[in-house]
Amino acid sequence: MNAPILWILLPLVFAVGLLLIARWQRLCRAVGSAFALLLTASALLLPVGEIVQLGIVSFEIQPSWVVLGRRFVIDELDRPYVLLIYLVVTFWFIGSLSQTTSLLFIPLGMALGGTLIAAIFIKPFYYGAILLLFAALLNIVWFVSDENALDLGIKRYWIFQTLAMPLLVLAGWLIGGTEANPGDIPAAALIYGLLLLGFSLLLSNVPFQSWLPAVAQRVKPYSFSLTIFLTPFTALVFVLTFLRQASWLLSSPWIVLFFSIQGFLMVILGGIGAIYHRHIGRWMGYALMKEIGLSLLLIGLGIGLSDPRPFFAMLFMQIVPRGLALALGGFAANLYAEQGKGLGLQQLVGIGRHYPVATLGYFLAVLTLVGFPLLASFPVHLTLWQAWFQRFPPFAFAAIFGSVGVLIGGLRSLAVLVRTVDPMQASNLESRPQKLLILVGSVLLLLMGVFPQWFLFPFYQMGLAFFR
Amino acid sequence: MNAAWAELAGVFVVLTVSLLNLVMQDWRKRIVALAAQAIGVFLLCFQSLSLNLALVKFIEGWMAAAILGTAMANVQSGLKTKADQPTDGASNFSMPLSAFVFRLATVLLISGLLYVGAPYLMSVFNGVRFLQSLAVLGLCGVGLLVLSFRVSALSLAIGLITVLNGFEILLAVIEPSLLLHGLLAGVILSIAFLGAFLLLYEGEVVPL
Repeated sequence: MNAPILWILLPLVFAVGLLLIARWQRLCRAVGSAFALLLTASALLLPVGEIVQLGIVSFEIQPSWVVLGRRFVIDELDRPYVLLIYLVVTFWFIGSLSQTTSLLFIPLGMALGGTLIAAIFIKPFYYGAILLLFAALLNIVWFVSDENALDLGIKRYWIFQTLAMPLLVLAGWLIGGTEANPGDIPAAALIYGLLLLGFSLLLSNVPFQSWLPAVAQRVKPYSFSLTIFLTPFTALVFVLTFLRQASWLLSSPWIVLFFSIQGFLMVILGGIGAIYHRHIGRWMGYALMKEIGLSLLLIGLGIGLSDPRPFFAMLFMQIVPRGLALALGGFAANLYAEQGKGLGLQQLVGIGRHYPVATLGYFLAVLTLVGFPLLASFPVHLTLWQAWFQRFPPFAFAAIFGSVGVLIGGLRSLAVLVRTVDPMQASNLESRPQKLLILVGSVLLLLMGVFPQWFLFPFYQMGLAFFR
Repeated sequence: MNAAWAELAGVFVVLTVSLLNLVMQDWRKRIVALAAQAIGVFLLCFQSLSLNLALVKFIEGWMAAAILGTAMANVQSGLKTKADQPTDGASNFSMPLSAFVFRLATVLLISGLLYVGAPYLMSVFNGVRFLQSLAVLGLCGVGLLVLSFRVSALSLAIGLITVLNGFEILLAVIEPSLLLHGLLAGVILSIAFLGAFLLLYEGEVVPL
């Protein structure tokens, strides 16, 4: 047995199997959830490179898999990333058991998990850009099959992600060359150009961010929240993998400037967009822009330090509350969309009264995404605000402004959702499993916020191990 | 035909057909141009790769053209069955002369890029020859123009494949890895499949 086959090839093969049974949705969801749970358990329990004894059977999971002369390598210390990806996939799949999703939700979700893991662990590292493009193409199929129509935002996403790949592959190839010859200044200038443009396209940074709210408006929020949560996170980890290949890149003032200014612009634009939104899907898109901006600001804090790992590891800590909040928000919005005619604010007047528990979950998701005290993402937000206040206060103000914008937008939605239309007709339309799932997610968010040392700190440790 | 002539023929083919893809309206001719582009890419990659690996470029390009052509033919036959739809789909949109001239003017900009960029490309990437660097920059530039001027799924697929073809020629010289070229072939075929898939969802006839 070897780790890349177990966590990359097997899920991809299984995704094809799931595609064959996609027509029987309940079966597909149940089987997909069970398999995702198994993968999560294997990532949690099976050590790589050590002999595992199961009864009379003993085996060792090898870290490396050679394909056509190149390798996929998943070491023992890389397991946290695998665990995180499959934890997220499992969480969304279990949530889909009580949701209406597209036929392709489970097969594509499984394939996405395998592809994103492959993108990080392929050697040489820059081949990962090609695998990230495959993940983006899967996302496009997902978006289109979800909304049964093609949108300009989806086309933009397709173009941006495809153009990012050659730039990053060339930059990666050149980085290998300059490592051998660090005095090669013309190549270094070209690397900066390719790398920064490639990062902007890949991470949907300014000015390539416009597709985010446009797609969020059209696609079902629950599936959108999974794809759009997993892909940027992996892209960020990939970008850090890229930067860590050359020490001169990690200490470069251009790179610090890029991440700081992009983070600043993303939180500002996300905040402004969220304030003026008229559609819950678009609000999610703007909230995600603000979250990407926060991640960039975190990276900007770490780059240039002698040991950037604490800030990079916070990405792992940040990702869990963000994922939970997006899942809850997407879950609630999906329920609203099923009942109403759409997710435009005018179409959602009073609908929250039919879904009280979902609306509670949505409220907690809003508060979590803005870093409200005593909720799960508060520790990360606080650290980031404090650190930027010490280094350059305008960026800290921008981060706070982004949060306030997302909060105002979220509260505007809530005000519409709970507005009284006819109190006599307020019936509860939530099923018991739906209530249970939302309550579990909400309680987890609260517990993470109240006891971060138990729930969030382990993820921080995993991040430290991963960015060793 | 010796290697230099093959290279020259390759550059001539890729630059001509990519230009035609920018200005032509009829989807059938554009698909044929895409297929011809694959021949040019093959001739240019063959200078640096083994015959087997270079043939992959040729086959992948033809498959992509076949996939897009089949999908487009299906969409067109679907439109013909609807009486209130234009029977020849997007081909009915005629390009005004001013648009044609403007596109050719932007191609002049790309020519400037070729003139300035080709020597630079050769100096940064060792082993890339002048004609190859012309093809790389020409394909990438015209591909970007196609992406900028046209919005249909077919055009996007053709534009992206054109950009990636240029990139493939460069990688054929600097990184002749089997896995890399296999993955790139997968990317081009995936883009063709996605283009074909999206054509079905286009919803309305848009200018090609």
